[in-house]
Amino acid sequence: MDDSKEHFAEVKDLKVTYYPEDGVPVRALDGANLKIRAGEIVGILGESGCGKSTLASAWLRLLPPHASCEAGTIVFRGRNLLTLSEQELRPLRGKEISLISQDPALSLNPLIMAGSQIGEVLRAHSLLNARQRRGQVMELLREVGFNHPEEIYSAYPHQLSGGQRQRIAIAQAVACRPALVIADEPTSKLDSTLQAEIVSVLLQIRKRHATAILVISHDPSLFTGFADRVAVMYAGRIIEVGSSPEIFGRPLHPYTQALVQIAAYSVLTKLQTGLRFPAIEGESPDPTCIPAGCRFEPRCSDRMEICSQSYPPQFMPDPSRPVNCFKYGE
Amino acid sequence: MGSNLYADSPNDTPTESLLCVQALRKQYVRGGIWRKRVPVAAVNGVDFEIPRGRTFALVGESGSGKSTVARCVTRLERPDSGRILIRGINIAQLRSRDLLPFRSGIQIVFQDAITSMNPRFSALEIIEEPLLIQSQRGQVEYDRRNRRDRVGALMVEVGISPDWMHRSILHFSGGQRQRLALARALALRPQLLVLDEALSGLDLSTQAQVANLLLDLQAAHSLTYLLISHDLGLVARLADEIGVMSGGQTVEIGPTQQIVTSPNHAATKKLLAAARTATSAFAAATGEQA
Amino acid sequence: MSYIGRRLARAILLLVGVSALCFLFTEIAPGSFFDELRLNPQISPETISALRSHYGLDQPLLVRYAHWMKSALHADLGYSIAYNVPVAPLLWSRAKNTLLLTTTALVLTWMISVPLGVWTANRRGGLLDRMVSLTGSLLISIPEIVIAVALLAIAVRWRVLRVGGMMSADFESFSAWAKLQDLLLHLALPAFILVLSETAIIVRHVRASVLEVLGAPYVQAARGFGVSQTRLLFRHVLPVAANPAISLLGFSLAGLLSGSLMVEVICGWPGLGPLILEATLSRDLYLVIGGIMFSALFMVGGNLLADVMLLALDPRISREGTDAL
Repeated sequence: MDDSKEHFAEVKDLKVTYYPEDGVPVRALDGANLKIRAGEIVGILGESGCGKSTLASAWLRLLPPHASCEAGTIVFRGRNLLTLSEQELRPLRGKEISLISQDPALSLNPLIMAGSQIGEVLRAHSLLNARQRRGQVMELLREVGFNHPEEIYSAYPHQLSGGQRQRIAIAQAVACRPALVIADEPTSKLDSTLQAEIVSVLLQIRKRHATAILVISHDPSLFTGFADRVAVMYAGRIIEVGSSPEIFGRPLHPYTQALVQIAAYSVLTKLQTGLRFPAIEGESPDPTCIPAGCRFEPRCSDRMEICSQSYPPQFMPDPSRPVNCFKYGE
Repeated sequence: MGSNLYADSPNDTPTESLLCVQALRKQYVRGGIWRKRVPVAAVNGVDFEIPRGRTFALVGESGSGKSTVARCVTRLERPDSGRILIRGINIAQLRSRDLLPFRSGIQIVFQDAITSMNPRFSALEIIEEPLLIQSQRGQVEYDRRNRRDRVGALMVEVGISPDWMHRSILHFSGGQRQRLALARALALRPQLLVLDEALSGLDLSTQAQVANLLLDLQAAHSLTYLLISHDLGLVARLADEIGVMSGGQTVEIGPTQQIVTSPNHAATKKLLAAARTATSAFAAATGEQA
Repeated sequence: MSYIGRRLARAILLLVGVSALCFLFTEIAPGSFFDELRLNPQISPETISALRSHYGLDQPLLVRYAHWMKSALHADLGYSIAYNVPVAPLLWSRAKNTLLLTTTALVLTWMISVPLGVWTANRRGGLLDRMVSLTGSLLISIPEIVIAVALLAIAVRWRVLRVGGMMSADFESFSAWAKLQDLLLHLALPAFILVLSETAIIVRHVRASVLEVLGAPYVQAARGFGVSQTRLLFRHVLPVAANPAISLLGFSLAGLLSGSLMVEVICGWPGLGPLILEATLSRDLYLVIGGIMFSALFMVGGNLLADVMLLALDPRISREGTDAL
């Protein structure tokens, strides 16, 4: 890993378990490691159930009450966030680290005007009066791409489209100029035509304010031209990291290779309907009984005997390209 | 027992259209006591045709009216005007009672299967529900054992082990639930399957699996598909013909190859651009030609 | 027709329907006011039929109904045979007493229930929450009449509160301050009984409603942006949680005239309840019908008010049909 630029946020060996009332405990995150540098856009690529949303929520301890962070640290600007009390965390939330939640249809209060909801974030962290806040909010609305901020300010969420709501959520997230923004599946619930728009808003924000962004998605095509580095997650662990062009140009882990192949299939050339999609067989492992060996092994087309026996350690076939796969073992 | 309206008669040509929509219109009214009442034309003139055994995709942005079309075609809503011809018979204005014989032939699968399933039901109860309803109406005869066998066969077909039929649907993943929704839709042996954003919101890998399942089912049962989606890239791999909707109207219709290589209308170009942006950046990364 | 217009029309139709049913049922019910008199051998049948025609009771049902409707529109509800006075003023004087009791109880109930419901939802599982829950369960399971009689017994023993009726015998001789005191001491017991029973129910609803909103994604998102817990509760949660509470308030308002009958009878409070009860027992026809219509008016009005409040406070309610896609 290129450590010449210092990283200001690091997740180390994070383990999170959910203890549902009726049911078996589920180890959602099983030792995640990640470093983020200032102003960097890092992508987390993985399918549902791999623990990516848990990772997103763990930073600000916004996990449900039946979740427990059992091991590991999240170090942000020298402090371990997991040891902070609720009192100590509140000034960080929205001010130094912000979370944009998954579904824009659900993350805005239905009875408060859109502009006021952005104002609430300002109210929580600054001493501006109402008029000053309103001015700031108009500025923010313009920044996220609204040409008529006055109309949007007094609109209620149900009067706005999905893309507009997501931009309001982004405005809320950057209102206090945090150092890190975590975007959990920012475009998954939106039309594909809006993906470029949201990406461009986030890129603008990074350019203007050197904000680091942690983007989470199941769709590789979101990261191309957007993320600097991508970490691939599977069944609670990170299995490959690399720069964006490296991950998609030369994926190392068989899982990443398979995902890239599926995403590339929608390239609209050589069209011939009726051909099958290059799908990965099987399902991700049941989180209540995780196998001892490599977790992708049952679905892997390159599996070897050792793969089911022990978990592959981290190999480094290229500099700054860690991958947990026996194919690259010495 | 109702007559099977879909039985092959010797005079049928193989590519006769199963569904033919003409000049479909449907409007809703917004506003009320504080605001002026404004009619909103959700669907304002839609025409298309689907030959038997083929796949037609209706694509457009949110708000273009495509879900309304899906609801009108399956008569979940009654259109204001226009014709919906199923094998030549216009079902657009039929009363509920008269629609009964048509119901089993047209089925719909929605996005996010969980919202169309009762969380207290097991997989078995969910899939057998259409069989129960049609039994009560006297359209079909199924006793309990037959139903269970049929549900088991359907589950196998969609790739889920029949041993799990007594599990509550909460224990299935999103992709698995979508498969169960397909199994339910196939219970009555429909001819036309409407898929309203049925692949949206699924993980990429799950999407691919379910898409393959759709292809297999179509081959096995000679199904006709009406796909509704905002994702032109996905749909281009599944559809024979594409209709683009914008502002409640079908603005462009043509074979997939034509739509994708030489689009005419601005809306088509916009959708294509979105699909292309995702994929051309991708192609650059993967080294393929876009 | 506009939303409110339709609701109003529906309300009027409802009232007309209730009046029709009233007439029908009182006609079908056995007995009449004069049955007692008939048993008395000294009163001749001619006197009775003269009395009957004097009160218009010998006319056919529809004619009586039509007359009643016409006068009702002029706020004249007929004559009470037992009391020998017009119905409307009699009803109104008693209704005022009932309203005093129930309005006091309503205000107190909501003043207690809302903060309590919000507090216990906010500190779910805490000591106060469990205590309130337990007490609530007890109060709901014990029949109101048992609670009323028990409290009555205690009040009589305790001798601080004044029991029976609304005023003491020598009320008129009191000074203004003493009059107020006297009234409040009489009011305390019946009001307390009502407050106990209703609070138990309303606290639960408020708590459930607040809990539900506390778990909503938009509240979690706001929490994620650093909004303080207090601000969260009052600005983000309460307005949304208020929705179901307002419907409940409408029901409470609707029951202002009818919910306290039993308590009034037991405590001797001179309200509408005992009056209607008496009237029903003695078949005092127009008093019964008038009383029922009065209650119905309040019930319908209370619900209408709740609808209007909801309409004004929730920007989401679509007035007409479904929204377009």
